[in-house]
Amino acid sequence: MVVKQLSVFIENRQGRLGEVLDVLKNNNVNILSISLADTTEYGILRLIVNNPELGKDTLLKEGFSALLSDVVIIKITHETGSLQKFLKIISDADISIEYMYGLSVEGASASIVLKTSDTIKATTVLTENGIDTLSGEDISKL
Amino acid sequence: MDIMVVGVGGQGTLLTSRIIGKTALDAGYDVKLSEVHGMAQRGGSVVTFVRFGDKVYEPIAEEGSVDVLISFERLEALRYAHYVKKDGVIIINDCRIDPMTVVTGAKSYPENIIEDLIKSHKVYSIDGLSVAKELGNSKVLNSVVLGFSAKHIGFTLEDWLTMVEKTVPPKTIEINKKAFLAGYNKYEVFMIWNKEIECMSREDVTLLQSERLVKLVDYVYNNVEFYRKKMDAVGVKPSDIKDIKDIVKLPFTTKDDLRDNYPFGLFAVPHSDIVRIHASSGTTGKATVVGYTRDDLEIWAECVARCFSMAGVDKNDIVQIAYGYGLFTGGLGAHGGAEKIGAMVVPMSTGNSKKLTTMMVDFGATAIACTPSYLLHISEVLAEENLLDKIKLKSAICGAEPWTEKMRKEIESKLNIKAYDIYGLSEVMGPGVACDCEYHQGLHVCEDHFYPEIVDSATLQPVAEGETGELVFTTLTKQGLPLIRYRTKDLTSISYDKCECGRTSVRISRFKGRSDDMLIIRGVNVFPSQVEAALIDVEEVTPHYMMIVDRVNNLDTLEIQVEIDPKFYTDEIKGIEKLTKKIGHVVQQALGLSAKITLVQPNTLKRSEGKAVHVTDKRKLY
Repeated sequence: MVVKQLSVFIENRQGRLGEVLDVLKNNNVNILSISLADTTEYGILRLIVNNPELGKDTLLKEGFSALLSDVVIIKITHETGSLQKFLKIISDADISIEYMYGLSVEGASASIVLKTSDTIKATTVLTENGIDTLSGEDISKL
Repeated sequence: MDIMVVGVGGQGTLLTSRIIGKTALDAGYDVKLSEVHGMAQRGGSVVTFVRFGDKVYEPIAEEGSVDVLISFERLEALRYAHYVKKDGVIIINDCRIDPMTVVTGAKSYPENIIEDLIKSHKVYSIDGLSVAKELGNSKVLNSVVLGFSAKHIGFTLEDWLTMVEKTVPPKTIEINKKAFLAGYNKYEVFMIWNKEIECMSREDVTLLQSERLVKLVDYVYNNVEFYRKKMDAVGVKPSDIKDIKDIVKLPFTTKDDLRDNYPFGLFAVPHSDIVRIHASSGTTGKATVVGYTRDDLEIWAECVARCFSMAGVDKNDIVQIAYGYGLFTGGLGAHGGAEKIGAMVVPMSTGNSKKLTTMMVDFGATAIACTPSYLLHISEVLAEENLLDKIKLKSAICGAEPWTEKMRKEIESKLNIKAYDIYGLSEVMGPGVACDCEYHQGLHVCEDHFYPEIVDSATLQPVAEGETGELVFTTLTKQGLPLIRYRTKDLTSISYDKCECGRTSVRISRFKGRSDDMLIIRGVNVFPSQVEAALIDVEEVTPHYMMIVDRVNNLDTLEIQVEIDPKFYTDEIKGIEKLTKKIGHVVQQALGLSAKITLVQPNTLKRSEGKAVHVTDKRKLY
């Protein structure tokens, strides 16, 4: 399933990240996972939240550059080699990975957020190979 | 020429006079040398005269007739200063040897001798003993002082060195030559390139300017439609201009006029008479084009030669020109003047500091012309490469961007040289419109070619002498692109006082700012409006921007902050980097200058009511 990820552009300046988080907190947007890609000048904050649409709208209203993009979240078992196994499926299907980060760990399984060159195709291939992907609904329940 | 050498016994005054005499003799002059009084024994006052010319009858000069007094001791200089003629020169070896009267307590040694002598004479002093000791032999003091005096006397460096070689004891030839050169290179006061013009009386200058203005107005009225229309519009005819004071009747010219008549509309001669074009950036990307006839180039070289002379450059020098060559006037302009002087010119241009420093050492360059910030950068490169003690540089002619007195001192101490401020603008000519001399009391304007006025930039009325206002130039002799009352937008004041260097030419003070928002970054003229115009073509950003100009490691930096338009936001770093590169390219194309582009969040750049503030200049240049 395709999940909406919330991205925000932030300058590398003290307090900027806090301002973004403030906006989300005040609108009851819950953050489930966070990743910050940084360069010397700016950072891109990527978030998996329970209500991405609300997160985006409120951030835009507060003057931030924010957008939603499609990602895939997969559930894998918490054992050696499982990540490698599913990466092979992706690369065999000629899909490249733009970036990835961890979501959460529950008991014996873990979730990975994946941004790929072709989200729809990735979801299909993964499902065909019996790998669970989370839906937006799953996320909002987390 | 009459030279008087005085000192205290044992200082080598006699040997010094002998070398001067023999050098003059070898140069084909009739020479008379005489020791007047005192004994050459240690401690006594020694006076010798060296007179040379086509024919010399009397061996002893009269009071008030000596051209150069060389004194090896302070008090001795004071004792014989009355022998020096009005525009003569006193050279003092700055040391104190108490005469018997002081030793016995009968008299006290006068204070502030040099300071007092400066009031009535041209005085140059050198601490010769320290120089000699640095060379490891205090006995070569006389050669140091002679070297220091040589340029006031004349003859070539080769003549002097040959004579030093012939006269001193064989074993000491090398050290004496070294000492002579050490003194020679300490020499701080220089030749006036065109004494007739640069030291002309105020009345004569005014007459010359009046005569030239009358001709100029007639010339532009008949040859440039723009001026004819402008003069007709205010009802001024060439016949209304009778002398320089009438200049206030004429309308002003601005950079916009040049732009509106792009490219050649204001030229006063057919293209066949133009032999060169230069151009500088305009306010909206269109260049300001200037054209020169062969005579214009000749006058330009003459003016630059005057400036380089102020900086002590002569034909014995090796000059590196490190301004950009090309459409920019800096490189070729400075080049022409240095060549006219007869110096060995090295056309470095800009952009390769390593090659510049290597050649500076290998060629033994003695002068450099470049922007002050570039020179500071060069000094750092030299320091990094441990080359600072291997350079022979003695003077720098810096310009093309505003700089402070503090920066000048920094350059001088870092490189152990003298630095001079040269001013010019391409519309008027290029570098060489004005330059400061060794006294650094303002920049001498080549006012026989460029008539300066200072006006209030709001009312355009002349301000009083000494008051700050906008500098306006009228090119009195230019043929290709003559300018009438051209508003430079540079803020300065003017002084007609005679300078201590002997020049009478009018001086403008160090610049105090600009009346418009033009920035000079790494020697390039930049208007914020150029950035604005360039950004309009980039749809991914909002029209808001902020330029941050700074000086890091002595090089100007330009950062442009732009707001990313939320509509075009991408969450991939490569996308943002692509955008940054795109903006950087657009800006580079517009300014001819690279800038660091920083994307900022929307709505974060300051919005101001009324006139927007688009520039933060952290350099403190005025």
